[in-house]
Amino acid sequence: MLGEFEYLVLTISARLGDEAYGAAIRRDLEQATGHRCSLGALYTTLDRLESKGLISTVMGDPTPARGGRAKRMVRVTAKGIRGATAFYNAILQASRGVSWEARIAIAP
Amino acid sequence: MGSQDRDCAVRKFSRFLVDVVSRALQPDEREVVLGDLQETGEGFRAVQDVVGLVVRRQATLWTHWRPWLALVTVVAPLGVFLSHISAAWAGGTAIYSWLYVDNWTWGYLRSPGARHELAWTVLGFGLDYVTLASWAWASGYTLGSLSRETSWLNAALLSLVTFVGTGSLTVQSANPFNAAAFSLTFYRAILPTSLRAVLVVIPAYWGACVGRRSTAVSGQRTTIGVVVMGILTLRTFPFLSGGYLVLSPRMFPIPADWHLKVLGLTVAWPLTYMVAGVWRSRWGKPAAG
Repeated sequence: MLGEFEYLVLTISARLGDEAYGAAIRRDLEQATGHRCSLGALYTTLDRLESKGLISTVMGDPTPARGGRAKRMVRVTAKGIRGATAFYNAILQASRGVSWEARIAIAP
Repeated sequence: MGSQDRDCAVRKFSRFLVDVVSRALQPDEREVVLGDLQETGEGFRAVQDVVGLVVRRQATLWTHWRPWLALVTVVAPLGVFLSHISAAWAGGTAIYSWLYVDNWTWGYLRSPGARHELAWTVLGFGLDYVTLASWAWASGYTLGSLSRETSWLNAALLSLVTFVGTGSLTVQSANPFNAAAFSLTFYRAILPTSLRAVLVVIPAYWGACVGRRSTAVSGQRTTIGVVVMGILTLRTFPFLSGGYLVLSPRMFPIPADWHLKVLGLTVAWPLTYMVAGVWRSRWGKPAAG
C-alpha cells in the first residue's frame, strides 16, 4: 500500500501529465496541502516510486527559465495508476459514513 | 532602497551557498535541483532544501559497508597516526628551525662539521616531509577509491582527526630545555598547524580526488609509487619515537615506542590496497565505479 505522501505525488503527477516535473509537482503539492514541501522529501519519494515501478523519469529539455538546465520529467506507469487507485478506494472505504464537514459544524 | 539592497545581497549569498552545497549531489540531480530552484526563485529557504537533500542522500550512502570500512580502517587509525607523527615532526622542525633560523650564524657554513650537520638535517627533514605527505596521499587515495560518494566526508573526518587526534603538546615541547623555541607562538602553534595542513590535509584531499576518479589504475605509476612509499616507510620506521597523546590536561604517555610502531603498521593498508588495485585491473575485473 502506498504512503500518503507517495499518493499525493502520484496523483499530482498524473494530473499534470506532460508537465509533471519536480518544480511543478512541488508547487501543486504545496497548494494542495498548505504546507511546505522540502526538496529532499520530494526527490527521495520520486526515487522510491521509481524503484517500485510506479513512475518513470526522464531528463527533459533545458529551458531559459531554468538557466538552461534540464528538468526531471515524471510519468506515472500503469502500475502506479493501479497503486493510486487502490489507495483512493481504501480511503473511500475507510471514510464511508464519516462526514468530516458535519463533525466540524457540530464541534464547538 | 536599503532593504532592497539587503534582500538582493541575501539572495546572492543564498545562491552562492546553494551552488556550493549542491556540489555534494550527483551531477544530473544537481542540474535538476538548481534548475528547479532557479524557476521558483527561492531565497535562503533554498539553502535549507538543498542541505536537507544532501543529508538524505548521504544518509542513504552510509547504509552500505564501504564508507564504514573506510572510516574504521583508514580515518580512525591513520588519522591518529598522522596526527601524532605530524605533531612530533613539527616539534623537531621547530627546534632545528629555531636553532638555524632564529639563531643563525655564518659559522654553520664555515665549519665543515656544522655544514655537514646542516645538510643532513635539511635532507632528513625533507625526506620526512615527503614520507608524511605520501602517507597522507595514500590514505586519501584509499578513501576516495573505497568510498567514492562519501569520500569527501571521510576526507573531512580524516582532516579533523589529524588536527585533534593529539593535543598541542609533544615530547619536544614538553621538555623544559626547549622552552626557548616553544615560547614563540610560531613554533608552538602556527608551525604544527601549517605542517598538518600542507603535509597531511592537502595531500589527503588530492589522493581522495585521484582515488574517486580512477576506474582503471595506472599499473606502472602505482607500482613505482608504492615502491617509493615503501622505501620511505622502511627508512622512517626504526626511528619512530614515543611521544605524548594529550587527551586532557593530564598527559597520557605512550610507555614504549612499539605502540607507535604498531599503529604505524596501518600505513601498510593503503599501500596494499593500491597494489591490489593494480593486480585487479591487470588480471581481474576493473574496480567498480
